[in-house]
Amino acid sequence: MDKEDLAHRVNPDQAMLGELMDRYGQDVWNYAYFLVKHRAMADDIAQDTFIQAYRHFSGFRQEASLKTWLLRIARNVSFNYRNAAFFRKALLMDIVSPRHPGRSAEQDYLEREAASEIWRCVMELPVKLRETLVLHARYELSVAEIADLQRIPEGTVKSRLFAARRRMESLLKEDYEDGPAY
Amino acid sequence: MVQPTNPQWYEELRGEPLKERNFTDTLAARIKERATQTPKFAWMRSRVAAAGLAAAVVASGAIFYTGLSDSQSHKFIDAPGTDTISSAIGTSDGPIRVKFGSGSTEAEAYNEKNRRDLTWIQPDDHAKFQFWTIRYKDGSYKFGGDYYVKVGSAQDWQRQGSSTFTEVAGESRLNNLGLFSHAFGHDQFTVLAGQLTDDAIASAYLTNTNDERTDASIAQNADGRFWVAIVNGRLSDFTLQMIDREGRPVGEPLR
Repeated sequence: MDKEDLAHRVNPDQAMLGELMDRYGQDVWNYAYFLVKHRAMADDIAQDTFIQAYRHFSGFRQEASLKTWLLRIARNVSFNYRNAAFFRKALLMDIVSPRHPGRSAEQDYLEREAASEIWRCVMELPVKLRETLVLHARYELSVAEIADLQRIPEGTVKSRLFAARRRMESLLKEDYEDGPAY
Repeated sequence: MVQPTNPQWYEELRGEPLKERNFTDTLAARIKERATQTPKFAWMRSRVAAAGLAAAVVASGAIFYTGLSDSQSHKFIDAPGTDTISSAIGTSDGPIRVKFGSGSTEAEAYNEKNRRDLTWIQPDDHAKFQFWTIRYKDGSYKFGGDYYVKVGSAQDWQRQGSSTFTEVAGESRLNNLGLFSHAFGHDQFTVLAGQLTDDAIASAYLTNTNDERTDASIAQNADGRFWVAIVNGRLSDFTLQMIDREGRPVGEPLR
């Protein structure tokens, strides 16, 4: 089943769901993780995203790519989760079971498992800048597509990209001056 | 190909951000299982709606918690309960009563043998909140809550939001956490629930900006201990304080 076949299917079945997850599962999970920086939440957001996509596939309109459509669902799901999970904070967790002062389990994980210093810096950005940057750099969406996904003017996307790049340059410079390998 | 306007490090962002692949086969299998449960899920929702209406009639406008424990002894009760406590929230009809009971019918409807409904809260005829735990066959664990409202002329229950926490088998994330929790807003109320994973914590209370205190209720099932609270106001107006068995504060208040 190629990409075109997938997009033209109207009635989803398990094989198609499997194909969707094979092709876009990690992308959707990564996007959720970029938004919430929490693996368990990213698992749940990815799960709800594909369940919604499966149940509402007839709502897919082909003016957007399947990937963009899935990212939009993931974005909406993640906002529901973030709004509902107010108290679920690393701070809250670590106060009760302190392991490393000032750090959460998720911060430890990211420090250990980030693929590179560049990604560590990306994850330090504020969420609005982080999301815009990864949509542009990693998912290769155009400014217009990002604006449509985030429902903001293209000018705002451009200014966020500019700010994100500037912040990244600053973080990378700090890392270089502190002496890591990058 | 790096575009001239893009910085050089853009190229590295084309790759994966984490060393390990997190969208695992186990997760994909679980999604397939859940996605194809539509008929059972729809049937479960209708059963819950029917149960909710019945409870609303009995409650005469009171807010009901249906759960598996009483709040005083912290003892696991695996049978319908009748214990009631009073919430700090008042209405024109007097204090809102909190009642614990059984939610076993929903567990059967989901056909997930290890699903355990914890609390079920219906502040009015048009909204309800459900908290539950699921233990999967592979050992993974999930604690979650769902917020439903009635929509359309048919007045069907439709899920408006969810909040879940998943502990994937073998990763021991839960053991690293003292507690985690969920919160939903509905009209003037905010409904909260959290799992207590640290034995040092016995309960919790919330305090609003006028220093008025709302004690959480404690529910317990085979998956652990949980605090549940409903407060009158926006979540941002409250701080959460955990306490030990002597009522002494544990940690700083959390906003």
